[in-house]
Amino acid sequence: MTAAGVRNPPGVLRPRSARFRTAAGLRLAWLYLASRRVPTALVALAACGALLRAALEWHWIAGPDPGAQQVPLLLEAGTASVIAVTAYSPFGEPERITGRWLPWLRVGTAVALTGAAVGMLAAGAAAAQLPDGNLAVLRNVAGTTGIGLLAAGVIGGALAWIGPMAYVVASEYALLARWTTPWVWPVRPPHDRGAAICAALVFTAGVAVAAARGARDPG
Amino acid sequence: MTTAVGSARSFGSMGPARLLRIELRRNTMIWMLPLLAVAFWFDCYHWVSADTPVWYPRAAELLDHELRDFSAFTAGVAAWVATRDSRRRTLDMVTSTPRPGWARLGATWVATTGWVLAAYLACVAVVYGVTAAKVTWGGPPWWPAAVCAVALVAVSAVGFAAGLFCPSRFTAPLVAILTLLLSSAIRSTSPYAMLWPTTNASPGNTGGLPVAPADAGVFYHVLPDLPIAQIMVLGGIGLAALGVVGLSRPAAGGPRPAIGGRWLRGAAAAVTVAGLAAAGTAAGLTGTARQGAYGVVIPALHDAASDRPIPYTPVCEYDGTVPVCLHPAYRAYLDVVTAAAAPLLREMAGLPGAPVRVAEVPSDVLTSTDDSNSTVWWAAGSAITGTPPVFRFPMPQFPPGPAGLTQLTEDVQEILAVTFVSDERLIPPGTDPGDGVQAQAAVELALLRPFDPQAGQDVGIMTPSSDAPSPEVAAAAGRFAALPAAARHAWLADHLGALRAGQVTLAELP
Repeated sequence: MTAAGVRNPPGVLRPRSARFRTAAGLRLAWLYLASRRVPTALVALAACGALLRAALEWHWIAGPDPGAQQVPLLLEAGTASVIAVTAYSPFGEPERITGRWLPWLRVGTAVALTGAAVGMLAAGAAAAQLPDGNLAVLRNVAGTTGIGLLAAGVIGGALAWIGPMAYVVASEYALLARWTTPWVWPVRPPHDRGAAICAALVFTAGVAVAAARGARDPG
Repeated sequence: MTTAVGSARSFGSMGPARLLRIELRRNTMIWMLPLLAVAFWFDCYHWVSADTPVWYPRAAELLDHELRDFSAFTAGVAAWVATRDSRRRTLDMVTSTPRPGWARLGATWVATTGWVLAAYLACVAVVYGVTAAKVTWGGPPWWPAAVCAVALVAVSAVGFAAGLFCPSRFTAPLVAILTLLLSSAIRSTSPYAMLWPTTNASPGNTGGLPVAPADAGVFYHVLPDLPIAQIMVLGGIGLAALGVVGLSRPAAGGPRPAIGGRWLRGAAAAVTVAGLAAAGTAAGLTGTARQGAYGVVIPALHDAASDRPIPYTPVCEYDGTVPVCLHPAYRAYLDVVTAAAAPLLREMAGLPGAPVRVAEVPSDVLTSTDDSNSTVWWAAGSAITGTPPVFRFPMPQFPPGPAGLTQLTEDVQEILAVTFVSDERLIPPGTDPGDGVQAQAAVELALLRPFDPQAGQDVGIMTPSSDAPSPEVAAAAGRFAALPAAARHAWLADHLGALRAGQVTLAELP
C-alpha cells in the first residue's frame, strides 16, 4: 500500500474543461458582485437617473444662476458615492489572501459601474437638455468616482461616500465663487481639456488604488 | 445582599451617563469635525467675511451655507452610526441587554447630534465674533442660529431613523446626497418650500417665498413668523423620527424589551404624534403666509410689535453741499455716499426740486419687486419728496471689496440722477410717455457721463439687444453734455417740470 494514489487521486489533475472554467469564472464574478451589493448599487444608480429626469421635468434645472447647475452635480456625486461604497468588502483578510482575481474584479466593477452611472444619468437627461451636456456628465462622474475610490483606500469603503460629498461641497462653493482651476472640473466647460485631464487622472488613480489595495476595511 | 442591591442601583443610575460617555468618545462624528471645520472655513466663513458688516445678512449665511454643508454630513453620519448593530452583526446581542432599545439607541443619537451641535455652535461663535468686530450698530439676531440648530437636530434624527430601518451600505450616501439636494436645489413658488431654511427663493415670487430686504433687522425687526414656523416643522419632524425609532420593535427594541416596553412604546407613540402634529400645524400656518414689506408674515404667528420701526439716530456728514444722513448700521459707507452724491448735488443746486438733504430709508420688498420678471429694480423706493425736498433712497446692494465701493458710488449717482430727472407720478395714468422717456434718459446720461462712462447700461434706455444706449439717445446726451454748464443749468431750470412729466422729446433737447 502506498500513498501515491492519495497524492494523485485519479481525476483531480485532469485539466478543467473550458465550459467548467467559464462557469466557475462567472460564478466567481457573480459572488464578487453580490458581496459588493452591486445589484443594489445599480438600482440606486437608476434612482439617481430617475431623479435627474424628475428634476428636468419639474424645471429644477433652469435659469442662468449657478444654483441651477447644482442638481446634475449633486446627482453625479450621488452616483460616485454609491460606486465608492461598493468597494467595501465584508470578508477582509481571507479574501485579500486567496482572491487571485481580486484586482481585476475590482477594476472591472469600478469601471462598469462608472459606465452604468454615466449611462443612467444620460438616459435620465434624454429628451431634455442638461446645461453642460453628457460630456460633462462623463467627466464629472468619472472624476468624482475616482475621489470616492481614493477615499475608500484611505478611510474605508463604507465611509468612502464622504470623499465625493466633500468634493461636491467644495465644488458648490467654487461654482458660486466662479473658480476656474481645472482640478474643480464641474466649474469648467464640458470641452475643457485641462478639466478632462484632471478628472481622468483622478479616476485612474482611484481605480489603481482600488485595484491594488481595495478598500481599507477592518478584518 | 444589601451591598449587591446598592451596587445594582448605582449601576442603574450611572448606566445612561456612562453609555453616553462611551458613545461620545467613540462616535464617528468626531472624525468628521475637521472636515466640518474645513467646510465652514471654505464656504460659510468666506461668505460672512465678504458680506456687508450688518448683523442680519451675515447671520443669514448660517442658513444659506452652514446648514447646507453641515446637514449633508450630519444626515449621512447619523444614518451610518444607526446601522452599526446591523453592520457588526451584534443586533441579537444588544437586544438581549436589560435596556430598552430607545435608551441604547438614544445614547448613540444624542452623542452624534451633540458633536454636530458643538461644532455648529463653535462656528456660530466665530461668525458672530467676527461680525461683532465689524458692525457699527445693533445686536446679533438669534433666529437664524436657532433655526439652523433645530434643522441639524431634525436631519440627524431623520438620518438616524433611515439608517435604522434600512441598514444598508447605501443608506448613508443616499441620505446625505438627498439632504444636500434638498438644501441646494429645490426651487418652488409654493409657500411650503420655505419651510426648509436653505430653499433658494427668487425675489418676486408670489407664492410667499421668504424674500427679506437687504437691510433686514436695521430699520425694522427681522420678522420671527417664518423662523417660528420652521422651528415647529423641523422640530416636529425630528421628534416624529425619534418617536418612530422608539416604536421599532424588531430593530430597536428587540422582540421583547426587558424594561418598560409597553410604557416606552406608548411614550414613543405620543412623541411621534406630537411631532407630526407640530409639523402639520406649522405647515398649515405657512400656507397662509404672505409677503410683507419687511419679510414673510404668517398671520397666526405675527406679532404686531414686530412691525414697529427700530429707533435710531442717523449719522450725518456735510461737505458744504447738502447733508447726507445714513442709518448708523451703514456708518462705514457714509464717506463713500457723500462723495458720490456731492458732484451731482452741486449740478442740481438751484433747480426746482433739487434736494436739500439726502436720507437713507428702509428697503421695501413689495415696492422694489417687479412681478413681471421677478427682478428687483435697483432704484425702487427712491424718491425726492417733501418741502423742502429730500432725496430718500434705500441702500443699494453691492459686492464686497473695493469693487463694491465703486459700484456703490455708481449706484448712488445713478439713483440720484434718475430720481431727479424722472418722476412717473407726473405722467398721467394710461398715457404713453414715449419719446419723453428717451429725453429723460438722455439728460440722465448727460448728468452721469462725467462720473461714470458706463452709466448708459443702467438708466433704463438700453436697446433690446444691446447694453448700450440707442444711438439717438446717445447723440442727444452728447449734445446736451457739450453745452456750457450755465446754459445746461438754465435750460433745466426752465424745462425740468416738463421733462419730468415726459413732455419733452429728444428733438427738443438743446
